[in-house]
Amino acid sequence: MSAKPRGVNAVLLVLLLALVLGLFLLLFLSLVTGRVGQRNDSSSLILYCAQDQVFAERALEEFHRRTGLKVRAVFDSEAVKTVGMANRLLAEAKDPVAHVFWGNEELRTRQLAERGVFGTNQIIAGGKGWAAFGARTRRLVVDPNRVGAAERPASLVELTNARWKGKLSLAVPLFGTTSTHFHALRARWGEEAWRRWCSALAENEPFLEPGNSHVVRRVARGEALVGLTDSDDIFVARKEGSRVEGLTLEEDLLVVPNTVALVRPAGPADPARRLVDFLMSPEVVNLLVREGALESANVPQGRWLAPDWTRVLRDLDVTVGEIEGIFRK
Amino acid sequence: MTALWNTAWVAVGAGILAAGFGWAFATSWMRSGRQWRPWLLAIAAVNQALPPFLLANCWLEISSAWRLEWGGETSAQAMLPLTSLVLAGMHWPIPAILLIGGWSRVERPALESNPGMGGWRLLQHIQWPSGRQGLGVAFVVCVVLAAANFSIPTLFQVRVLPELLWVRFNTQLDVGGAWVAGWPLVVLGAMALLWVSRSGVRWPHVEGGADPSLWRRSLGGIGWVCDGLTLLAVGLSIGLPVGMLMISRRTWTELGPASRAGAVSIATSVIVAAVVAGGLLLLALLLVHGTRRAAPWRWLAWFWFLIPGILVSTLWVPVLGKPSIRWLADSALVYALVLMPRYLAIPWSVGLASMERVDATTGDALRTSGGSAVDVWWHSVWPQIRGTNLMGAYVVYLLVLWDVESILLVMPAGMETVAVRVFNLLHYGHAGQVNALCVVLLGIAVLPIVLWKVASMVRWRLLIPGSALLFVAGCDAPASPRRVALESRWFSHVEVIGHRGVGPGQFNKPRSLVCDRNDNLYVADVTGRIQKFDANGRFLLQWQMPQTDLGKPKGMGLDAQGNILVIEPHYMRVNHFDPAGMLVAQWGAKGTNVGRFILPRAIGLNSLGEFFVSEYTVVDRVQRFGPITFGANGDAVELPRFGMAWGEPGEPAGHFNRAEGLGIGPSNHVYVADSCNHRIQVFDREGRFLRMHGQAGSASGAFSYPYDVRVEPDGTQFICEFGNSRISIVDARDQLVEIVGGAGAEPGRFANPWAVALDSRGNLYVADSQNHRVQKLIRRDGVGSVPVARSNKAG
Repeated sequence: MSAKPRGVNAVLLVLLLALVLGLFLLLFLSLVTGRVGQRNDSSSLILYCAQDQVFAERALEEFHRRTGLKVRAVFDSEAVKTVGMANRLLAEAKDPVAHVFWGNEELRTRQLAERGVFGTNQIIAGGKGWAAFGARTRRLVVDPNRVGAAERPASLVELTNARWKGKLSLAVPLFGTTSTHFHALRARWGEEAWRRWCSALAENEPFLEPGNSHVVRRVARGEALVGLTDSDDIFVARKEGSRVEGLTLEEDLLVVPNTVALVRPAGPADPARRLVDFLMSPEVVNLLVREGALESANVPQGRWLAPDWTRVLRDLDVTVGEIEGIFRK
Repeated sequence: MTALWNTAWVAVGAGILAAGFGWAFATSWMRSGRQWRPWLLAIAAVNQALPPFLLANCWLEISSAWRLEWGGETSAQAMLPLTSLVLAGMHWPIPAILLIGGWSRVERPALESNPGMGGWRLLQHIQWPSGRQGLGVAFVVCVVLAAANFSIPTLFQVRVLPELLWVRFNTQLDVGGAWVAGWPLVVLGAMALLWVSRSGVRWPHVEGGADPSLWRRSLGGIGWVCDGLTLLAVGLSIGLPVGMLMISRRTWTELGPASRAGAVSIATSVIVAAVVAGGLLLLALLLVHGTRRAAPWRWLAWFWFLIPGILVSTLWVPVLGKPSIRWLADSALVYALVLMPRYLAIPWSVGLASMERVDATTGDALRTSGGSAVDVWWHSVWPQIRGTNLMGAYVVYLLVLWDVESILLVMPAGMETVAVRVFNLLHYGHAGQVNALCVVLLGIAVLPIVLWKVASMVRWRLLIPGSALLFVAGCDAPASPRRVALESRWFSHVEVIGHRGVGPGQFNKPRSLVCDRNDNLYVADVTGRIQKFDANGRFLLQWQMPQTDLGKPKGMGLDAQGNILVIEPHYMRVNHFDPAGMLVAQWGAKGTNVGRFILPRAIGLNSLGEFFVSEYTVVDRVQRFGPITFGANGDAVELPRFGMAWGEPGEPAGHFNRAEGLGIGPSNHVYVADSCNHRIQVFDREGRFLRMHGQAGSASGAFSYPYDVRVEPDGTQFICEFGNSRISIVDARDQLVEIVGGAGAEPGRFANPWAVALDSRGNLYVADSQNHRVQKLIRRDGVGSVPVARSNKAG
């Protein structure tokens, strides 16, 4: 008696057909739901979004409801905030996938613009291919029950005090707004002073978190006494019942706007422009302010750290290398 | 260097803890009654279905409270043990399953042979030797999986190598750099694969092995300790995280909004997981049928599974970025493209393992009766491999459901999965939504099981009204629950003995049987047991063949002293057991030379005390051996000596094609069931061909795979037809007198019967293999010769 059934080709054929059918089912589903060829489909847009997914989705739903345009969004992981998305845009520069990029900080947007990712698009006539709107700020966060008023640090330099050794929390300075803040500080303070500060900060054995929300949670749990984070993360934590308080930084205060950019060439009537205009509209900005994703609709008055972007972009790679060397030993 | 050290510390620690928990769980399994084992299996499945983020979040909260309340150490070094613990909590089912695979092959005599074999001695002499291979493989796999994990250590502030790779790739978009930096993980994966390929994997046996009660007695107090450790492992890895999830109010208040917001993600997850798992199931079946031997590049598939998902995804980024295939990158096919190679190894290996156990004989019978290749596969092969392969597909379903690292960089716009959504929301701090989505993910994870159960219940519920209808209609109920009238000239009734199972009095594919001088019945099935029943069908005792790894016993008879003969075809030997199950003699050796055996199948005893043994595969022949002599103390003093041999493979008279059974008739003639030639051949004791009858077919007088034959003193032959599922009764002139049975499950019908035996009253026992029972055909008074010869011995 043979071990292998005769006519086994019939069985193999059936199995092969079933496999091919399964793969085509996936493709079919994509077609039915309009998810293939969407790049050139005028009824949908692709958005690369670094904004908090929960808030962004609400805005995009409203846009869809009003215009009928479907927005397919790719959201970034906070662990590699914006850097990952920026790298994706750079990699796709010659043949962009996204129609619109919605950033939540300025550095990477400027970097992408400098590298020509946004082409010759102009958001505003005579302007550039991206625009800033709304504002949030970098803050220190403390638990007022554990850190009295007299003890609270008044500046970033005070974070290097031994008082905060092992009790300080900040996001990894290679990504997101923390990265932008460090770059801006270097341009403002100068290399030497900044390097000394970074080294002292690293010697204070801070908790290096995957994101700013983790900083706030660490402080709320009492494992850290002070943290460096964004105002919107403090807002969310307070909304969820955490007893934390944000401290302003005065001269070291960094204002962080949202940015929006056209990635692919877009004519005046292009649907992508409608999305850009919608995202910059007072309605969306107010929604983001209400939800705490933004602190205000406009840049706040007063003294704050105004980065020298030219210098920041010039020294970008060097700064990244130095940060890695200090904090990732 | 720190990252490398942390990775090694965390991975090895996780491997050790997982091995410990797995050992405890496997021990609890072995000592648990069979009714509890599905529950234990469900617990292990739930552990694998739980989101890793759920586990991590739970332990983050607990560790924070520990630090705050008891001033615990806060440094990253102090978090290393906790990270290992959490990773061990994710992976302990792996060593548990492989240990069960080793221990389920420990047979009863191994536990009973030494009265002092208990407690620590059991661990030292039984558990460790039989389990260390599986434990070693599991430890290596757990270490590799733990080393490749980056989300858990990151959450615990432990810097590990996968995190560095992630950061490097995202900051520099350098695929080559990421792979260069990740070389330790790549090498680790390759080394693990080498280890596993040399060690092999022994999958668990659900049936067979020593009874749980024997394990309980042997383990003693250690068993209770292991039960405690099992409870601890389950509590730490399942109870705490699920409990915290369920008692959090926000989980339930956010469930609706989170589900609505993530509706597209939920649909995407279900479809992708189902299509990838289903597609891999089909692909694996394709590969298994196309290349039965383990192909070297199957190990490449395992390598692709063992290396970190981050590295896998970095390779896809430049490929999918090419404009020419951008249409593919924008579609859901990306998931299939990335995930199917990633998880192919699992269903492929599972498929191969399941095919090793397929019994091809039922398929052969189907083909003979005109079935197509598709019929053979659907009705014979698929039912035997279905359960295992579906389980493998379910494992893939769970893994795809949870995958983040492999797809994060290449996910099509607007088509995120729930796992990616959870991953993103986790970092944004939306704890309530994260918990709610974890509940959703748990629901998606158990969805296939729920659908399966519902489908099963629907079929079951349809049977109840049907059965009731039959009862109301007053169909012929048997006079007693197990005795049914039979329409036959030779037999008046049929009694059904046993049903499917592995307990005493139950059978799993019985293949051989014999009656002793007191009309007690002995039955051998594929669990490797010999069960003894009295003449009324009551179970008396059982014993387990000592070795069954290579194969199960098949072929039984009686020697001149009344001992029970049991052939072990794969061990090339004949055993003599006394009626109490004590081994009193054993003979035979492997070889093609005359006097040795290659896969012996049947044995008969003539009136001179000579043994006749049939064999097949490399040789197709019958051999005659002299009598066995026992001393006064019952020991064998002279083993059977070789007498002569005849036959060779082929079709002409005197040739054989699988002489599956034989019987001894009047004048010591040897009747050979030449199964694959579909005939009965008759020889004298010198091997001289006398005559033959039968041809392939299902008509009267034709045979389909005659597997056994018994002959009465008047030359009446009872031929057991495996292929036609019936008994053909042929007189001394080789003329058909009656056909009994046919395919079916009712009493009096058969499903691939394998052997027959006669008792002293002429009652005929049939090993009804695929119905997993024995049927006793009660002889009508005055029919046939009286007294009737004992089974397989000439009168």
